[in-house]
Amino acid sequence: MNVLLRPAAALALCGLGAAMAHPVPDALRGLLDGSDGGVLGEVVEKEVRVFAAPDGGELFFTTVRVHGTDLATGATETVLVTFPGGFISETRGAHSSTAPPADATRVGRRVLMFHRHVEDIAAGFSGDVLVSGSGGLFQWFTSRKGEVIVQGGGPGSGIERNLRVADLRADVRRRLEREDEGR
Amino acid sequence: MDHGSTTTRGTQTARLIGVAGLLGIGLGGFLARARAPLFPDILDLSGPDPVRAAATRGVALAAAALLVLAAGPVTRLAPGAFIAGAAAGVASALLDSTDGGLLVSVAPPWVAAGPWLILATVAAALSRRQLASATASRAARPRLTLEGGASAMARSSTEPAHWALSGGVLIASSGVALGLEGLSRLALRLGLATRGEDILLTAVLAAVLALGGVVFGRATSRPGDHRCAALLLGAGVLGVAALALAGGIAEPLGFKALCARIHADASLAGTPRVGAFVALVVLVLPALAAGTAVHVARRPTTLAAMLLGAALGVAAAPGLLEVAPVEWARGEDAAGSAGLVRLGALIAGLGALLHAALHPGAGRLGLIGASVGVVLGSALLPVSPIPVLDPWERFPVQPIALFETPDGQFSVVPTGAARRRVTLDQRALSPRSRELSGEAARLRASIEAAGDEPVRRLLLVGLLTPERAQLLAALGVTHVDRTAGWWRSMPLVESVLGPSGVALTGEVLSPTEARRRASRGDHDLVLAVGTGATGPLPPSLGLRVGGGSTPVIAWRPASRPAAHLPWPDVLVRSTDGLLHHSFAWTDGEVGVRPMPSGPIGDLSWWRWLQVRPDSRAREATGQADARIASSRYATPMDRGLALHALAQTQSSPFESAVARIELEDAALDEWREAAVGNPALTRFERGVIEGAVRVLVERRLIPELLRFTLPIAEAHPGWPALELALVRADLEELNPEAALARLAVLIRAPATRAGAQPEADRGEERLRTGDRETALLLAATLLELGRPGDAAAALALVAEARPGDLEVGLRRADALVAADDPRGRELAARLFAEHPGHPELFGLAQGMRGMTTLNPDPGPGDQR
Repeated sequence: MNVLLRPAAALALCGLGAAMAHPVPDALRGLLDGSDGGVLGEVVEKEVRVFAAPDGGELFFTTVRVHGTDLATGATETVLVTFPGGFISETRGAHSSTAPPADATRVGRRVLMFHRHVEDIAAGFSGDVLVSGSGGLFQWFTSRKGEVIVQGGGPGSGIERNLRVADLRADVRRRLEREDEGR
Repeated sequence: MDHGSTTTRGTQTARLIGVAGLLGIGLGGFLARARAPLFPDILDLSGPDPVRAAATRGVALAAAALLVLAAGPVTRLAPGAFIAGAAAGVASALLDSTDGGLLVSVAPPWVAAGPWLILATVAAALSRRQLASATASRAARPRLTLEGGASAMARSSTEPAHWALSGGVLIASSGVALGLEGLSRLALRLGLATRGEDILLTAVLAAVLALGGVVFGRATSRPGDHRCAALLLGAGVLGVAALALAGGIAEPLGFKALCARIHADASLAGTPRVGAFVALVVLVLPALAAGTAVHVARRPTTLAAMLLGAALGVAAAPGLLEVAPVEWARGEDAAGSAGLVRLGALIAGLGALLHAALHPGAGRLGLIGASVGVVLGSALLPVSPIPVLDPWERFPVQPIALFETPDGQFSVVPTGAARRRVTLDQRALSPRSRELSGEAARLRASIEAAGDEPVRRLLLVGLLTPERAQLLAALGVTHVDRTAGWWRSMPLVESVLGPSGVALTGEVLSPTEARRRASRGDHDLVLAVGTGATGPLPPSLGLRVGGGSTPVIAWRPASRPAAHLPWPDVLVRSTDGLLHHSFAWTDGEVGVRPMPSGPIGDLSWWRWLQVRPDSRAREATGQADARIASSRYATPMDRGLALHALAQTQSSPFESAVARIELEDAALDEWREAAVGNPALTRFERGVIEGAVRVLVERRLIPELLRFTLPIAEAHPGWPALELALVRADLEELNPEAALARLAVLIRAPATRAGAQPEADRGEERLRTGDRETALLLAATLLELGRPGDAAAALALVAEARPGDLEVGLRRADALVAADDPRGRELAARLFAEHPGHPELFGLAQGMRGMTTLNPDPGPGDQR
């Protein structure tokens, strides 16, 4: 009985799921729509700030200074990107489940960060925040052939697979132009 | 006013206070350190046998009772100084070295407790002398009217002993001691139950006893045994009330709320702040009452009766935990430590009743009434066991089994896929799933270090889990005898874990029997696994078992400091990469490399308790690595490890185990140099290199990976872990052709002939025997090259060897779907039936690749 029931139940579930599935826009477009841009560069500075929380506690935010180029235009820029969590001393600070791994944002790391301006991050502090938690952070490197390659984050990520930065930049430009035409 | 006599009286009083304080310090220090076993060896590494430990503590309390009697009525004259001194003596144990101290390398308990016993004996003798002198002085000045002080001495010294009349106090005290024992067991489980916390808890108990005595004892300063018995009765009742408090704290919300009261959080469980506060809250009520009772007891015979009663209670606790007389009479299941508290209240009631029967006087009827009420109330009160399940865990895990024996509270919790992990009073007796590779490395290193002779018969100090049994069987072991301090519960624990599926012979032995057999030469190796260890590591005093003919390997738990200890000439090390890195003591006849011996520092329990529990393993490893690197035998590998340890910091609990590892360029440079310059790396050194490579691969730091790996791979051609890492680097660089060429060296398979089935050569054999990582990488490479059919064929070979491997099945279904092969959808549907809720399998069953969620409104990353 079990031998027949289990595949049947699985197929029924599959059918149900397929009927419920909806087409959705692709992930990179979602990332671009939710951000003001992406900066491709190196982390040159990292700082943790503390703010008073409304309930009397403390809120900790980490801000990294990324020096590099704008993903779409290629123009040189320096962007300050903020995300929650961080420690100002060995014991004072907070970990955040939405923060990227500490090693991924240490000084010297090669990053592509999608960022968005927020007027009030905490206690009147405004600035650019990392989009989608660590989903808005990617790494890049220069290959032995001299190509700059952005490392994809796998299925479900804004950039799934590794891409040469020239290809990614062209794709982003194309999408933005198409978007402009749509308006 | 006779100024001279007043001065003399003052001096005598001061001397008496000093002597009483000294006596207290000596007794407190002695009681805190009098532990079993008296002569520890490797078989005690898992901690003492609880029955022996209880008996030892009972004997120590009885010895204290004798000394109090011998000291005369000094405790009556200066009870506050005596009690405060005792508390200070107990607290001094926190300053002891974490493993016994430097003087005698690792001190057995009798060495640690001896000086304190001598101090107490000297204080008792001084007390006698001082009392005699005071009596003589009073006799020389009969006109003086002395209040308290010397006059009291004389009175008391002439009073007859009241042994017969102290029987009630003795029984009531044993009940109070039982109650405090039950509460202490619970309080200890509300921390990490380390040896340091045990001492901390004892210090808190002693401090509260002293506080009760000094504050409330002074207020009720009229001495009288009725009052003492009534206070002991009250302590028994308050113990039951404290039980309710302990039950509340054992709940995660209660524990967190308690921590918040002292501006701490649950992650600080196991530190002095939280440990002391938990102990205070649980013990404060009965301990205050008991301390007051000690203060008002005053008469040496009464105080000695109380100490003897406590000795009986403590010594009988394990047996009473097992028998659970009240629950037995009520026909209920044993309530463990909670039942001990109830039984303590009942016995305290009986003692007070006996006392009232023996002592006529005011308040007798009231005491009888209260005692009867407490006895009846305790007998009728429903008490349930109080399970303590890591209340500090962010996600509490429901145990598969939870039971309490005289050895402690055992919990069996699920970990990983179909595995079980055992803890004893919060101490892990078996590893988590993610620690299994480290465990395997340790067992392998142990067997290899034991010498050229094969190890067939093993004496294991610790729990034989199914995984350990499988690993040992794979290493050629055929017979495993097991022992530990908690050996009485071992058969029950093993039965809960289930069969290992391998044919190993062997039995559970008591440490005494194990010692006898090991001395007889019944075993090829004595191996202490280290996990769950609480006992001291005895390198110079008892690392050898019996005549010393059997090799011994004792692994050090990673979370316990070791750098301050005297080290053996030979140290065995093992690693599963950079995640878990451990080392073991040997008896000098086994091992892999020479190390400098002799201690280099000291570390007290108090200092070690200050280290956050989640940092202890990192801290201990760092200290040990730094010590190795400072030796004249240090290699670049050792220096790299020290640099690496130095770079480690507190990491977010939200990060993966690998993401928490900090990699330093300087450490990588040292390791690379060590590997390139040494053609014959040890297994440990290879493990370190592979660990670094693994971190670089998982972090996807490609330039760093290439810089580190390429020179080593050139110096050590054919090192599979490095070759596979370089394949990943090729794939990251969008160069699948190079990846396939590199893989072809490892497996001469479809790489050589596009579209062909794998050849029946070594490469195919490699896949057939289930080289999962290679197959998965090969499949990924072939998919990149647009050859999904070949990818599926490669995975099919591995799937035969690993039929239950979900990842292999999933990737094979994916490759088949990519190749438009209908078998892909069938395979995915079959796997989905076994793993309902898996989105990617669900999608593949529909012919869609890359589905990430079953949510009908998926995110932008979903490929639908």
